[in-house]
Amino acid sequence: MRPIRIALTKGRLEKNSITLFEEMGLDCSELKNKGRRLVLPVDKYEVVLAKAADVITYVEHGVCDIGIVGKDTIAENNRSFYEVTDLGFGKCKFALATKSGTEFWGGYDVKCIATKYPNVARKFFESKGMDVRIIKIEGSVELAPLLKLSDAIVDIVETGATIKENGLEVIEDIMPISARVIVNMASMKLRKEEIESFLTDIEKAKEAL
Amino acid sequence: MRRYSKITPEGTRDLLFEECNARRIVESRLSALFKSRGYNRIITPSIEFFDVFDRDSAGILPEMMYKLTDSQGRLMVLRPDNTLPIARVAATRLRDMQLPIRLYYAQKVFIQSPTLVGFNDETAQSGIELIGASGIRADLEIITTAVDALDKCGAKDYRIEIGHAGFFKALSDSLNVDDETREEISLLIESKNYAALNDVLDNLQNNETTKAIKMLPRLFGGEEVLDEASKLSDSKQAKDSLNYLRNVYKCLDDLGLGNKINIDLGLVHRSNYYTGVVFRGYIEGSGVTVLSGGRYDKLIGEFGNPLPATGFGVEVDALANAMLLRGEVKLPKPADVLVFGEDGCEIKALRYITELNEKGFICENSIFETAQQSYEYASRRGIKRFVLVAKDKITESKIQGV
Repeated sequence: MRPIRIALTKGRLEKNSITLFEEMGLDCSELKNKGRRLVLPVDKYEVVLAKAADVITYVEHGVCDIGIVGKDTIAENNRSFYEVTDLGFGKCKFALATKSGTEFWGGYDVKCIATKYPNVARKFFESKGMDVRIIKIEGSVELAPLLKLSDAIVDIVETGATIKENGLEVIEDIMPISARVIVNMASMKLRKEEIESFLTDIEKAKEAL
Repeated sequence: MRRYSKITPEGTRDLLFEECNARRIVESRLSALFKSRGYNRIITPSIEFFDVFDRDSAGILPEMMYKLTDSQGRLMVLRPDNTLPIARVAATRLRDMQLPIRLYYAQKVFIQSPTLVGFNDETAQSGIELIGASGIRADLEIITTAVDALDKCGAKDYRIEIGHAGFFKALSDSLNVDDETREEISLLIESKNYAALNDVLDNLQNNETTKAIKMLPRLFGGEEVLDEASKLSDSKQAKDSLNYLRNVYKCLDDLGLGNKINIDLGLVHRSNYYTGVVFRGYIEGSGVTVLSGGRYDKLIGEFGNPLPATGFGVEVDALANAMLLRGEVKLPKPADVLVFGEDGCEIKALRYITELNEKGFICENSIFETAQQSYEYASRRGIKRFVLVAKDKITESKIQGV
């Protein structure tokens, strides 16, 4: 049987994940000197480095058993797996922001929302029973209200500095975000002992850090 | 311009040769198993009225269904589920049948998945429904048949997880929340999302029930799970559910299935028509749920004739893929014999093929103009024997080098 395979989100969450793995007592030397390799042995596990959205795809299909990925990606892609642990790092939030000093909630005209996360935005306004027009933007979403393409944005806010510097302000928090551990549903049942021991270890390491 | 004339729609595909073989093997083994237990096959239409599936209990969202309209503009769908049409048949055409009714099916379902996620929209399912039967005998029959189904399809390692819809219902009934929140809670339990579940429950008043529900996703494993769970609630329905599940588990353990069966009290099906024991199956080599089922005592009543029932469905394609991955399915073999009729002997050659067929040989009719071309073709295809049919005689030869 192949080793338990863990999909790790490249970039923002990578460093914290490695610190956590080391706290778990795992030998991460290969992972730290990865070069261009994408599949790396980490102790008895096999680690795969992937983009966030791909982490959940690999885990849902079961080609990876465990994934470490941000809540933002999970919320945007409505897919099936177990979401078992909040790792507590990579903290930020989804928020609704507009140009400072504008009245967003008033009036009867349909508001236009620019976002990289159309599903999160749609769900948020649905829960308010509010009809909005959503435009998907790929890059710096803050531009859209400045160029008067949209009335507001739904985006990830970490410190709020980018928002403020561009003359925007957060008018409502939508959802807190942090790194999560996800597990493939079949793996959880078929390889219960190995996965549970990983989860217990990671939980302990999280507390210790 | 016919832009889409050379490709199949997303979520569908052509099954070729060994893939066909794999699906056929799985389907025929399952059908043989179901038949041997006294189940009779039924076939329901691929196209049904939207109304059959448009019910809260089904858990099939309208956007998941392939829709079309009939000549009167009525809304139709491609069958997204097999249990609902069978419930419809049981409540209507079979209402006077002697109970219990044992039915099996082997037919496709159509579900619109989100685009580009790599899942098929058209999948083959086989399954059974035991209708008009309540009680543990029926539940055990269904679960053991589910185990046998995975076994027959060559699953090297598998797990069946069992739960009870009544346990969550008992807990959630004593929560004072609206249906939306209840649904959210059940989704969070299903995805074992401890963190978000805690957030939702922390917004409610803290009591014994919220504490118990927080524990639910963690309640999976062996029999010890039932001991832990019994401490969580004093409600009679909860206790009854747990006792029933313990009974089922013990029986399966006696059968030697203890290490294959897990209990998962956080098992909440997407379809909420389940009322009693529910279960799911997983096999090595497949990352998805390959089997799911359970007891649904209220569903047939929704179609006008209340009957208790239980059953399960198997994802045939998932089992077939696992079989392909294990390398158990072979490419179709070349024919045993190539038969060539000389000019004027075409019909004689075709007759001779019928004769060989009756003896059990697979024969191809050569469509080439000459014996030489036919012989070369047989050699290329790996056909071992060559038969030349002439006016006065029939000669047979072995193909060199095959």
